[in-house]
Amino acid sequence: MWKYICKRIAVLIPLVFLVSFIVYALMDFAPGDPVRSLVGENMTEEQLEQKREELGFNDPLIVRYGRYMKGVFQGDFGKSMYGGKDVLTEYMSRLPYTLKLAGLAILLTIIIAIPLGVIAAVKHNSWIDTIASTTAMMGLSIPGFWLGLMLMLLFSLQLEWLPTSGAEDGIKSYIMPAITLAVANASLSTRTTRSSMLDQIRADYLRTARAKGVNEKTVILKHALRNALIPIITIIGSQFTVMFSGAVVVESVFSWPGVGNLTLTAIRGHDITAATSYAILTTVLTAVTLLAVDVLYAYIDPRIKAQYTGK
Amino acid sequence: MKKLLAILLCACMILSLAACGGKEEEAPAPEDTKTPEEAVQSGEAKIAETLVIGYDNDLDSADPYGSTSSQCAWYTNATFRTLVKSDYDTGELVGVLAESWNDVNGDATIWELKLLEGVKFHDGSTLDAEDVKFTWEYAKDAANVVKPIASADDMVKEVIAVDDQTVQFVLNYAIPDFISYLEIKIYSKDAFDSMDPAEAGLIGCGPYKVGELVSGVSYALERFDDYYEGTEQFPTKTIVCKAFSDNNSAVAALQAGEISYCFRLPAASYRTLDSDSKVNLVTRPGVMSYYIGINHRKAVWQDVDMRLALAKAINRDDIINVVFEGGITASRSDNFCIASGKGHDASVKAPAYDVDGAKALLEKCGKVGQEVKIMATASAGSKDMGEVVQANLNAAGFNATIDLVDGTNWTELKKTGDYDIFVGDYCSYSGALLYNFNRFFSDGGTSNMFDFHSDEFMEAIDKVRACATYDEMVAEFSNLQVWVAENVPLIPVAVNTAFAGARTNVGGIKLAPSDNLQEVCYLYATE
Amino acid sequence: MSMFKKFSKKQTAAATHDPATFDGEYVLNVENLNVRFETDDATVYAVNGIDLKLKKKQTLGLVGETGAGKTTTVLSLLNLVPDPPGVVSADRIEVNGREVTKMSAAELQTMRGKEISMIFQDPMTSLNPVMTVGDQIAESILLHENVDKKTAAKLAGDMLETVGIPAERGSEYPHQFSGGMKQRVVIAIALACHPNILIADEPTTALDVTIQAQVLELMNGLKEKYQTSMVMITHDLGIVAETCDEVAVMYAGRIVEKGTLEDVFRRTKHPYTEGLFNSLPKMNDRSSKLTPIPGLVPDPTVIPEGCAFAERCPYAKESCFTKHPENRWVSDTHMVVCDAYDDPDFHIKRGR
Repeated sequence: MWKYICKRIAVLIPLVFLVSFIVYALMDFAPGDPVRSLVGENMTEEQLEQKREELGFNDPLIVRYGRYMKGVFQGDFGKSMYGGKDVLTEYMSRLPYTLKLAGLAILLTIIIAIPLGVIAAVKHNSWIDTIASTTAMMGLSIPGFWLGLMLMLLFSLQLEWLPTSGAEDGIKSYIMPAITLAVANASLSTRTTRSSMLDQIRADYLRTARAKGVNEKTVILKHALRNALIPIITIIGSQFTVMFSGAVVVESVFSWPGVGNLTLTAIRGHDITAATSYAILTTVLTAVTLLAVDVLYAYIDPRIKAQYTGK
Repeated sequence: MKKLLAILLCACMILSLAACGGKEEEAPAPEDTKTPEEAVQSGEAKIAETLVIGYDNDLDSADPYGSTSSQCAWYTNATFRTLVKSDYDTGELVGVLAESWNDVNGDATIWELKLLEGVKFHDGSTLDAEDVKFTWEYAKDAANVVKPIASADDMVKEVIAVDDQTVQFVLNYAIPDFISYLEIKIYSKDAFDSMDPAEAGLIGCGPYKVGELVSGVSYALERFDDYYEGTEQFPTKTIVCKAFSDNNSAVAALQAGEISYCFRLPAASYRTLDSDSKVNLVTRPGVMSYYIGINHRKAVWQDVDMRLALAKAINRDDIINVVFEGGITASRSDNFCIASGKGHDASVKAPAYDVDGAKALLEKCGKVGQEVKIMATASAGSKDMGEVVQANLNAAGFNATIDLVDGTNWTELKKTGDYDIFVGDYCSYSGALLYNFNRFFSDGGTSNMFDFHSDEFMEAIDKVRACATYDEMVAEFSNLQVWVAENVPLIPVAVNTAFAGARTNVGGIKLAPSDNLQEVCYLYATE
Repeated sequence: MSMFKKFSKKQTAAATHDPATFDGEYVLNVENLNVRFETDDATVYAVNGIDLKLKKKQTLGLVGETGAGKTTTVLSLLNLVPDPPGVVSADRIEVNGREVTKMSAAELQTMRGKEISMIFQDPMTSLNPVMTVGDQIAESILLHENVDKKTAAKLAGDMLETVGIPAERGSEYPHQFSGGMKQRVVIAIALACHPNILIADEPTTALDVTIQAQVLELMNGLKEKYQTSMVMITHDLGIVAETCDEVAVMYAGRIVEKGTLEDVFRRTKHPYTEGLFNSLPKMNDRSSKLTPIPGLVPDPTVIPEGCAFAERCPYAKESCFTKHPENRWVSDTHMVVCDAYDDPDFHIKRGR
């Protein structure tokens, strides 16, 4: 197993190079002059040119990229063009907020989706199934920012139970953003659970279990669900990684100090160093999470473990 | 049966969700209460130690020369002090750290300033002439972004610290209103000698010093008790600004009472906040100028008659009504020099709305049906204005189309884009008389992105500069305004109305015309 | 070609004789079992009026083509017919003297695995892929015996040894075993609690012939060892010959002939059974063509008016199409459901 994990981590290095080069080059080729975006209309052409020279923008792409990557491997992810803050420090100070929110959202997703999906599958085609499936579909169709704003309207402004935004109020701050994220995730996960369970419910080995005298609840939860978990975990795992950079909408609505906004701001402000650094950090984080999910597979399904270890 | 159930369920959900969205807050009529100022005076209310305000951006730098952002500007308005200040209401130039100044040789080539004594910086050091000299040279040469005086680097030959309290600026040529360029925030040289530049750049002599900065969450100001003027005017000990990602969240937070004051609010929130009994709205004329820029690289627009045709075709009142809610969030502007700008001549008016006149000009030039590509960004105000202008132009015989572009490359696009006109805005505040006219219309002006060139203009502006006294400059400036109005290098449209929202228990509100001029140091809230 | 004679509609006395049953001697007693599956499109009549009796320590072979209703019949014994589409009705379904349809869920769960076990056709899919084989056997033990986990694990290991697999392999997963060994595991699971009835639904169909022999040998040995009664479902007459004491032949959800092994094999009476035997390839006559039964199994959504086999029967007469054939006992042990025997001289070709 360790060999497998080490192999996966080793693959990260070329991956980081690939991603960082693509992002760096793309941002460089993107229309617009980053230096002009930075200084606005405050400088004459000569001053602008001088600034460009100072910031090293006149060197060829490869040189700049090389300089940047050298810094990265020494642990220096560069400084933001706007305000000169250290990129790595910024990212690390905001990461816990994103992780905590993502963690809570996934927890809610699991709590909602798996029971709902299992019930929908077991009571396939009954009215419970119809309600669960329809609700899941609606949840998937509701735009995140709209849901977030509606929740805010109801719980913050009307009822005054929860704070409107920010992460200051302890657990209360987490509730609305986590719910907003969880609704979309849970909808997809419910559908996945349901269909994966349906695949299993007809399986022969369940018949064997029943013939042994196992009660129905155990048949569903211990035998069927465990076999149905692989696709479910895949979906939930990827939802978790998407939230690292993709919770931008929720972060915007609730002014959540996470890392999603950082990347967006960097890209829009043409801050090449910061954007590439955030891309690298997100890549590493995502890859590690996916690795953890893959390792989890091995503990659920011994056939997969056999694949990894070659037994 | 199953299908019917599913449809019924969907219908129920949709209806209940739609019902949710329609809630309007009915604010009850307020009772007669004292204003915060009265309450404090009568001793009824205490002042809160901490005040929470909101802004829709995180603080990128607490170093006044570390960023051009407006949040950096207003934050450092509280932590730093400048040599002189131009009162944005009266237009008067007052000394701040500079007690007095004089024209040494009488020919406006050397200006000497006397500095106040006993001004303390946050690190304990005292203000002296070396600090001023250091600031000028550091800010000029350092690898940072903002220059103390844009487009005016070549003005100063050298800065001399004559003695502790006296500093001289030796100019390359005579500039009668040079002092008005000295609204620059002063560093402490001692701080830079003893600390890391990243930290030293945060040390100023303002009434507040840098407080707790939590990235992405909030940035705070702590009162500096050794402030040279004393701290009576600054009742709040700690001012915390919450960083929002979106100014609609700030509106929600203001309504919920999570922040007490916010001066950057979306225009659309005006009505909502107006009807909220717990929030007071403060308004004043702003300095955000909206205009229609013209691409002078294209031959057709180098003909002044065609520009006049454009100007006559555009109906400012239409724009005010549609884009600015009938005049609530902006008022019309008929002069490139805005009403509250230095040297504004109220008699000067840009060409009035005259559709027939526009049509006639088009026929005269033989350009009926002239194509006009309007460049605007997708943001609401820009797009809306573009659409009104398009309608106006089409009604006058032009053939106008709109091109929506991404705002991130706006500056670059103004320089290189293939457009005929664009919807523009700029902050027109300046203490210096010619600042805006110079940067927009002079050859090589930093804001002259549309390559306007006119020898006549250059002569006219030089005439202003050549005046011996400030009053003469103002008189000559009127002529410049007339020239600009008649020759239409661009079309001024409107000036915004700045507004801020404050909870009813907030006092000390001093609303400045633009974000970067705000002074939050006087604010307080009663408990 | 046999000769047809017109039969009278009246039943002859000999046809209604039913040999006496042994009270308490039948571990399985099924009377008039009917199972239909009600779907949105149509109703499938899978089992139509089956009677089954299994004595202690006996092996009953249930023979028939695919779709004859064999699996459904035995699933009803455990009350495992899937409930939404399936509707089970019977005069009697008794396992060890107790009526299955009246049992509560808890009673059913106790019965399954402890009194009556079932092994299924495809070993590849019958085992839970994510549980070790040891755990799957132990699960059965833990459900029915009052032992702790460690003992259950040991007993599971013993069971593995009994079916010829080293006990250490109990910690391995199904995918690590070959087809034949998987089926042994399945057998181990079924017999772990020593039930007195074992239902084997085509246990060797999915295995190759050599493995087949091994597994059958194992089953016979275990049957002896644990004194288990068995119902062996198969379409392979060779297996019936090897393992069964009694045989019941099913066609279209009905039993058309039943008796001892000798009765059915040597004194075959029903035309369908004859057809089955005829369709076996002849070892001695390699060059002759195979003789299948002409025609197809009837549509299970339709209950025929007369005999279900009439369309394909070489001996059918007109009344066969309109009248349900009677149960005829030709001896104490041998019953055939065919109206051709109205004529006392009638006989089929086989056995002559």
